[in-house]
Amino acid sequence: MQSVNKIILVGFVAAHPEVRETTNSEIIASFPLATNRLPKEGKTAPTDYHKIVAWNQIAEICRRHVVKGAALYIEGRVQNRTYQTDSGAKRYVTEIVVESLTVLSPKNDDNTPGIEPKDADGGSPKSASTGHLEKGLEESQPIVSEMLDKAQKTLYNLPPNSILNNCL
Amino acid sequence: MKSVNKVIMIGNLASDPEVRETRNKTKVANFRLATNRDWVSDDDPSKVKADFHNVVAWDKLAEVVGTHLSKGSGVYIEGRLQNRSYEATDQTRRYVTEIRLDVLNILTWKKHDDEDSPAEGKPTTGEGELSQ
Repeated sequence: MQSVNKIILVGFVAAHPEVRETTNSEIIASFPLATNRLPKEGKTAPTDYHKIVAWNQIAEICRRHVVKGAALYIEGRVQNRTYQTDSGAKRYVTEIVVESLTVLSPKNDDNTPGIEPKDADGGSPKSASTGHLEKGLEESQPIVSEMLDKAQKTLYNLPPNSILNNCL
Repeated sequence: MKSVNKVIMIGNLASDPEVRETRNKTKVANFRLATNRDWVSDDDPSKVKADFHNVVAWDKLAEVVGTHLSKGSGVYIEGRLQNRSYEATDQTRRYVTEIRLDVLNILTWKKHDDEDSPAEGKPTTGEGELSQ
């Protein structure tokens, strides 16, 4: 029987993506994504943090367009792997491998979230980084990467999120 | 903005379900679900790689899981991916990712069910499917 393994997530990027290269020069991007459960009466909604992993082309998109705080739509599959800790103990990791990704609301470097993109002026950096990235990527690359460089500088100066570190 | 957290899987049970009851009499069922990575098996079928997922079902669904599923059963499931942590015996914090079952659709029925009525005649979306 053919298996199906599909996951759909809409949530917020909880930390800036970490992009690495493997020994056979493949690119990997990984970052945590936060989704909220439905809140119970009188309580705040608990948050789930998912470990997201993207390879090659999608990793490249993550590097350019995904910043902390951005809202994302992700389709992918759930995968498990094990690794050995320094003390020799076996640890299990569950991660989501991205197959398709859409940025719903990029966080802008000037901290004005959710500015509506205008189709008419085409060259606007804000419109360039919304919607289906694969399509808009080529024409918007220089502007967006410049914008993200700025955003990265701002973000890396923020204090580390201790809650996140505990959760992942 | 509201979050979406939805998992859809078709696979086989890698273990018999374990049904327990909490202190407040709520039923919980746990089992492991295996899904094959089809892209691995394309070139060399002997090298099929499987992912094993922890699935947890509550209340009525836990009962259905306990009575109708066993190791090897084929199921379609919908649920959401959740994380929790606990303190291990060596005082370290362990993190568990599990799928909380929302919809269950049994694709292969147990042997004794087949004797009552032919498995083919049973709609897979019939009594096997319960949503919470």
